Amino acid sequence: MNSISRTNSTSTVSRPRWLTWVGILGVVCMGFTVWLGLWVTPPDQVQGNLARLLYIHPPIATVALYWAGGVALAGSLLYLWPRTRSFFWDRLAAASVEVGAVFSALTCITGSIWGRPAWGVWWAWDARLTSTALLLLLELGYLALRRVPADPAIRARRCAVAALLIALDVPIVHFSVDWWQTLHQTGTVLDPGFHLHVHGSMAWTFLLGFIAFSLIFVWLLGVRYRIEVLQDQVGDQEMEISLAERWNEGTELVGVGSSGTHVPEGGAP
Amino acid sequence: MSYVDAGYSIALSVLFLYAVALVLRRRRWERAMRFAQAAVVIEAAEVAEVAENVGRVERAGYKEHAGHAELIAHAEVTEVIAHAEVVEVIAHTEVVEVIAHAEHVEHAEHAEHAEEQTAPGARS
Repeated sequence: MNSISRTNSTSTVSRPRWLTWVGILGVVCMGFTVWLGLWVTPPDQVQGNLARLLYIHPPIATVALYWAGGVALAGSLLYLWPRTRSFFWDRLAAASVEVGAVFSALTCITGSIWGRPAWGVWWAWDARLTSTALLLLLELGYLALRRVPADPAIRARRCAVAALLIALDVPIVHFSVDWWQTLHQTGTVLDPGFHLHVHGSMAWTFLLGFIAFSLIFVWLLGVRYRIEVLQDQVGDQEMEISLAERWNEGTELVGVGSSGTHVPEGGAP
Repeated sequence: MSYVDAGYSIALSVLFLYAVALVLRRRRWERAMRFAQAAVVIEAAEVAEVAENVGRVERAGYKEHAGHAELIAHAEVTEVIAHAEVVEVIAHTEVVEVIAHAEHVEHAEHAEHAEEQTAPGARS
């Protein structure tokens, strides 16, 4: 039996209207980012047009690392903390990890596409790249763990612990370029002293890219969270149906027994 | 196609496909939810129907029992009536027999009296 209530899972969850507007705003910002990044901003002095990939790669990596990792960490900690334990946090963390896995994969892909002409290789066992790949693997492991059949409370606890392992990798990814001499450059937009490296239209395009991918992340997170809620609700309903069927079978058996020659003891009431 | 175009195309396509997949998954689960709710309602109706059937079967059992009791009572009544008739017949027979006996006794007395009257000299 669950030690915590799942009543919030049985209530009907409607689609929030603000989420739709977030999605629309995200798509609009993304459109402007692509337009500015591909046609408006000037080529970089060193990298030329290749620098245009950096309008999407760092924002994607930021979402994968900080937003998705942060939500997964917060959700898991709040679930593990007895006072705030609720399946809301578990579902939020699960949704965040799945969306984060997509962004982590995109981080590796876009980074690899940028790395081939810039470094001459598709992949290098560099500290930043390896720790990012490890992040993706940990997220895939979390999703696999979530599919293991178990009591919802046990599954939530296991996943929360797994999310803590994911969160442990986040600072390693972040500081990898400072801790080790790596192929990957240090901070693209800000250096460790928070000094801005990018200016003018390139800076605005960067900023818009961060906003666009962040809004898209929020929208995807909302949709994914709703799927988690619906999965739990359908599971609960199926459980109710199974129990009713069992009850029916048992009652029909009793009914068959009493419909034969059985006469209740004591005569008619 | 340049690396830049490839990077933008892949990133935007993957995000677009993932978003479409999520929306389709959400719709599928919403549909499953509606079916599950409908199934719960149907199941509840079936449970109620089964319960009603069980009640009906139990009531039928009681009625059957009552029918048996009625038959038994009827048979007993019939038996009692038959017994009463037998008793009546016996009583009637006994009455007839008593009457016949009485008549027999009367006839005998009458015959004796007539015999005495027809032979007075013999007496004197």
